[in-house]
Amino acid sequence: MLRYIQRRLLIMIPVLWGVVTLVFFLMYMLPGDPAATILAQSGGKAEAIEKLREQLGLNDPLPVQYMRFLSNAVRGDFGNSIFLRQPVMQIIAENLPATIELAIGALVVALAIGFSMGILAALKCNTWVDRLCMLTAIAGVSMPNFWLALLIMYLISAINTYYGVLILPITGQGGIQHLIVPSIVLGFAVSGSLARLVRSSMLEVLRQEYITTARAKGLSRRVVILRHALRNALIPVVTMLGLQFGYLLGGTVIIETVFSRRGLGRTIVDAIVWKDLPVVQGAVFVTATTYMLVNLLVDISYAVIDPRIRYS
Amino acid sequence: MTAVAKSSGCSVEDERTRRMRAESPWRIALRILVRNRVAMSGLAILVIMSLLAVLAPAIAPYDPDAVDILHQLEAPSQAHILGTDLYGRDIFSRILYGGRITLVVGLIAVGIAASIGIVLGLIAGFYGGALDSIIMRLVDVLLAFPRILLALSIVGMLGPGLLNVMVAVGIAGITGYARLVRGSVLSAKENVYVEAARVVGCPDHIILRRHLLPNIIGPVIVLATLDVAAAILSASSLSFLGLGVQPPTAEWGAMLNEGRQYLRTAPWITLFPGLAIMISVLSINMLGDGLRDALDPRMKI
Repeated sequence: MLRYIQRRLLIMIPVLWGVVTLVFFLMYMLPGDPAATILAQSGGKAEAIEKLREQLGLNDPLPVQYMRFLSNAVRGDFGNSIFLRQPVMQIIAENLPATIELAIGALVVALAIGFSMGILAALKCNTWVDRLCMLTAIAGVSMPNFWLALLIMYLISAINTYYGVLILPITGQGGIQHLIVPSIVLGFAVSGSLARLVRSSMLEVLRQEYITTARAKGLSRRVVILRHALRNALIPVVTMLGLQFGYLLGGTVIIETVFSRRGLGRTIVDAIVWKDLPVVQGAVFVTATTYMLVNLLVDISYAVIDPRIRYS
Repeated sequence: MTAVAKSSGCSVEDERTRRMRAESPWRIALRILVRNRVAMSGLAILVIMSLLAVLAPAIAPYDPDAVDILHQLEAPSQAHILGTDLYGRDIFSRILYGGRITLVVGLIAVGIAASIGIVLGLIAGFYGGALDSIIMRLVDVLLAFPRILLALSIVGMLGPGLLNVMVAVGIAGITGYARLVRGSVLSAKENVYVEAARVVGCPDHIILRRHLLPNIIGPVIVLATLDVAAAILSASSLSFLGLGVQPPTAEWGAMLNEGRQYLRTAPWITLFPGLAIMISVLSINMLGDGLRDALDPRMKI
């Protein structure tokens, strides 16, 4: 197991190198001159721009710039933000926790709704309950999350206007209360695809003979469903969870912007709008790395769920 | 007697060939699909939405970009059935015209993703070796990015705009096709018909195009259909963030963005374009699910 993890981490290195390279070239090809952008506010003169270009190393040949970027990136240094004048890594460190918090909150919502709907639909297969669950699921998958966010914001503010109570804070940072609405919005779409997968996976397992055996030997329905069926139905679901976490991580870009929350997603959007290259590079790199680590965790968790899977 | 035997033999032969023709996998799939009520409703909704978009100039009661300050932020009424926005533009007309952009963006983005992804997947799977390694490592790098983030970064590089959104969403979608096609080619190329084609001297590009591609295209069609829905969502997200289609062009995501500030006073500006996105994405998903059930029920996409 340990060797498997080691090997996977080793494989990550060339991919990370690829990610850094891609991030560098994406931003290198960006139209416009970063030095001119920085000095635009102070009415940048040509001389000053040229001096700054020299300072930033923008006049060096491309391979030199690339090697410098690469060696800094290895040390976790993406330079300073053009607008905030802070080290990029500091900005990321300040914003990453909020994004992870939101992604985990959304995952909890997705798992709770997805599993209950999926199991319910599988047990009540071909009844109106099943159809209702699956309709909700496909609607959840098809709904733009920013639209759902706006609808819920409108609803909560309407309740606030009519009854004078704010049932939940909608925007900004804060305790767990501030996390609830954004998590529900972000998690809802994933809960839809999760419910569909849990349902089909459960149906397949429930047809197996060992389920009949378990029931025949007198185990309660609850035990059979939760311990025998669900655990075996989990494997395809867990496979998808890694991909879905990527969706959640990407979704924070939109949700954080809509709900005016602090976070890495919003940092990226703002940095793209302001052409703050170093921040975009650093934040995109960190997000990609997080996503890869989550996928590794998912792969490892197979072995926990299904002891038949052994990594060598 | 012999004549009877001959004719009956003949008719058996005919019967068999007819059945074989009738039972071709595509025909079976089509039959299952047509019987699937959910998929057919999806298709019907999709056809209606597309017709509305195509016929927008004939149906739309107003010019979608005509500013009418006297009637700004009006609630739905007889004159403006879905209300008006900040500039007094008719939301219904804008939604009709917006459909042209949103649906086309979805189709073209998927076209870009599928054509590049299929070619990469075919090459990687068929030739194997170093070419395969290089292509798949590239795909791994692209896969390390959550899709919307990749699209966002590419749009950040190319700048906002309709064409750039299609390219960005398209490139971000390549990986799915490349992996799917490569996997299918790996197993399909072991078939005898590939060997037979080689023996008779078929060049590689013919084997790939005429022999392999038709045999593996089923799952690709399903992926592409469901992907149109995903691409529409991604593209409208980008426009919603202000990085996609730019105002004053009527596009559903951009309309939602414009209506955001007036959520309390004029919720219809955000309500209806969002509903339009959801209905079109939903109908495509319904059709895509049906296609998957018809073509390969065991497929997990």
